[in-house]
Amino acid sequence: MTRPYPAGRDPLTGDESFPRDSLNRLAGRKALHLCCGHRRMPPASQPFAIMEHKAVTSTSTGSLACVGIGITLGSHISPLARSHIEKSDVVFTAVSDGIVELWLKEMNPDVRSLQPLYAEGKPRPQTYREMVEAMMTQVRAGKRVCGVFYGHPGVFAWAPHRAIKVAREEGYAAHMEPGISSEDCLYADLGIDPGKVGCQHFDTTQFMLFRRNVDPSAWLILWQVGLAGEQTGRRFATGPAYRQVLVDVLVRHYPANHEVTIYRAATLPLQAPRMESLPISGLPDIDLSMSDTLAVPPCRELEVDHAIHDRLTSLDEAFASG
Amino acid sequence: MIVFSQYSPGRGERQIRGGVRRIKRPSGEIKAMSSVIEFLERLGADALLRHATQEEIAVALETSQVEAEIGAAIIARSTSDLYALLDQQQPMFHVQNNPGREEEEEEEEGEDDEEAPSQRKLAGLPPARRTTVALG
Repeated sequence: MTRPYPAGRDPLTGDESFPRDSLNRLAGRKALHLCCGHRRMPPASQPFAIMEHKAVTSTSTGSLACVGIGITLGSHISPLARSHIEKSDVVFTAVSDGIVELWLKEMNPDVRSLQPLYAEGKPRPQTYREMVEAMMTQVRAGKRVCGVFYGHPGVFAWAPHRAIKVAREEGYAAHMEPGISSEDCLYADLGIDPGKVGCQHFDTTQFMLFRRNVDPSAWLILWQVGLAGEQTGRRFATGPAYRQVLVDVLVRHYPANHEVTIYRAATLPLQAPRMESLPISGLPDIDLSMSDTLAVPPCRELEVDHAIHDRLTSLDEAFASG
Repeated sequence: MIVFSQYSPGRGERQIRGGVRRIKRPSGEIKAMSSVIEFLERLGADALLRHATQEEIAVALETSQVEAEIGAAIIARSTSDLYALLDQQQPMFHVQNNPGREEEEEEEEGEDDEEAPSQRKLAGLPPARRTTVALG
């Protein structure tokens, strides 16, 4: 059940002039669903939320751009992302480092951190929906809004995709600008070319919960390994017992002594990336954070499909003979 | 204004190791903070500084307005000291998704929405537990 916020107060800024209809949407289940893009329509007895949206949409010039600023401060931001930040009326930030937030505050006088929406024990999906609502409230107020996300705003990030979908459904201009992601940094720092033998990417918990067709002749990258096995949606880390379960899943496909790498990209330019090698069996014994990624190299050679090879060779021969 | 020829990387490290204290700037705070951020941005964006040696960074700092203690932390590449000096020690949450589960939460609130059932529902798994579990 969604808990109502104190009447008239913005949950991010404490602003007492927070629009009443936004409070209603935050507090009311049906209205919250509508504003966050939920497919269920409110009952006939509560049509006011739809009416309000239509009225605002017809006269508003609000817009939304969700931009990525890359991973490393100063190194990765694109000229276009910077321009969006500098030229927006309101900038919301969801980044991984307080100093990066300070950097963004130098680019625009109205930068609002989305960090206060997080809390230990609070369901993360609720946090993400509130991020959408915070951005959309300003879009509906006619503001040019920029949502700034670390890395790429569309990779392992729910709120930017949803906010853009909701904004478009309500008739506002909305789009995403890509950024350099952790994945991009990983390829550079670990010297991996995903085109060489292929590369599979999974969220670690999803990889554990569902049986996947793992190809041990390709790279396997498991994201959010510090949250391995986190099913509650309320925590930001799990521990060794959870990682032992991950080990048990991995050894279905790889030897226990297969060497893997824990990777973390550099957020500040004075940092070095974390690149720590260890056997799969050692995963429960190391410290991991929500920023860490597990890179598992192939343990098998590529296997030729002889039937397909023969068919392609026949085609080549036919092509060569005219 | 800090004259950077007054300190060497070694001296700066000793200053920091002697005990990190947060720099308080009741006046000129914005300017001082801007100087640090500007330098970090330059460190990230300048091809000659991004992977520079401690000595090269010290030289670059001499022409900046960055305070000595912060400069020493940058030279020492000490993220923890930099966070402490800039009062940025609070935890930053940055997990931004819960794959396949955001839809599940909506379904629970929407009760009978079958338009886009979650991965867990499709797989026959029960809804995610709502209780907080101790770290294992």
